[in-house]
Amino acid sequence: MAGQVGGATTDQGSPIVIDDDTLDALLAEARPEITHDSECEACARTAGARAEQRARWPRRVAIAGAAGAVVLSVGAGAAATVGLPFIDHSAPVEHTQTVSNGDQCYATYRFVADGRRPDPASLAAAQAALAGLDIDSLDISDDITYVTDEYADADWSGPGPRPDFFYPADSLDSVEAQALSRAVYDAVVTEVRTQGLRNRGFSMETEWKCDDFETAITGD
Amino acid sequence: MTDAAESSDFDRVAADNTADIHGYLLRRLGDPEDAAEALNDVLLTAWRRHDQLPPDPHAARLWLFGVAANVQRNQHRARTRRSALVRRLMSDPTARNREATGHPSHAIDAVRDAIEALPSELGELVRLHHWEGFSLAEAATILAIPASTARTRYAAARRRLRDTLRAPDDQEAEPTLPIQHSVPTS
Repeated sequence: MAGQVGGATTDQGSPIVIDDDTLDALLAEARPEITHDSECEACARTAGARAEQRARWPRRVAIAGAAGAVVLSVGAGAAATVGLPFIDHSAPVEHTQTVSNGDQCYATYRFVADGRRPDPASLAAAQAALAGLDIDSLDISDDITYVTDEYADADWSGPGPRPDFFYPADSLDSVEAQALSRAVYDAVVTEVRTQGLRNRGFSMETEWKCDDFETAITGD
Repeated sequence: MTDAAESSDFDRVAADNTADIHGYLLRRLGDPEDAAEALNDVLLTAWRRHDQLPPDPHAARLWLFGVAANVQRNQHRARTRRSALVRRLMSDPTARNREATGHPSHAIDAVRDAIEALPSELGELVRLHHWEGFSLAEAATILAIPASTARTRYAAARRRLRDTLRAPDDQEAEPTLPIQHSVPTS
């Protein structure tokens, strides 16, 4: 027997050859077709705001923050039989973090259902644990090391087309913001497990804005 | 050039390219709000650097996409996605429409996952070339790398994609790509 993909055929068990045309077709088909309205509302909104932004630019530079988002998930899991807590803790938790250089990161954390089989009890427990968590007391030193290592190979550099071409740098504030989000997530999962629940069927969404975003983008 | 003339040039270049850049950001970031925010950052950053804007419209377009690539890369790095489901949904804002394409949706998912799994410098090159329609030379300019490096990286990316897409997926019941079996002729 033989396996066939596109225009190539090989013996079964041997590597399947994908010819150039097939690969090109697959890559083209994989292009996400965006629901980009013809008016491009976001473009108009941005263009309209630009004049105002120009006038406010110096202030914008001063207050611009790092923007990021994290989704930490524990994957899908079987539904538990434990009932939902009475109190609704599903609202995002807001937190301001002062990082080591004195900058501030403004973050929100929220636990949401995730996976093919969400676990309402575990989700409720996670949301309650987050609501009661003393985020400022968390030790993030190990998480900083983890995040720093994880993103070290993501740093990109190369010859620019012109001497003054700028390169982005990872926001240093964001490293600590991400580290804190990991610590929050781990603390919540620990609490969920302590209650005898499974840490699955939910995920944590985090967004943050830090003070050094502008310099990270512009390389100044 | 006067400030007014520079401003006019910037407005023209921005007007000509904003929709395409928004599409690029939407494809890369998935979430419309993230894309809109990134678009704002692109234009704001570009405006701040508009004195570096190349006078040639095509070169200016590539320069703007270079800024967009930098902005989205910074945002993309800030994301940690542990959930394959979330990753798929965020990278594919129109998952519901994919059944209309020629290949089965799981094959298209496999291709997107394979691109996502590429080292970032290779994946971005593939996306710019196949999704945004830039030549390799143009993509090289956008990514601020020599054209020869772009060609080498692109070839490496295609090799990796072939290797990934032909490998059996141990975690799924169905093959990564649609495979039709037949009796060999020899």
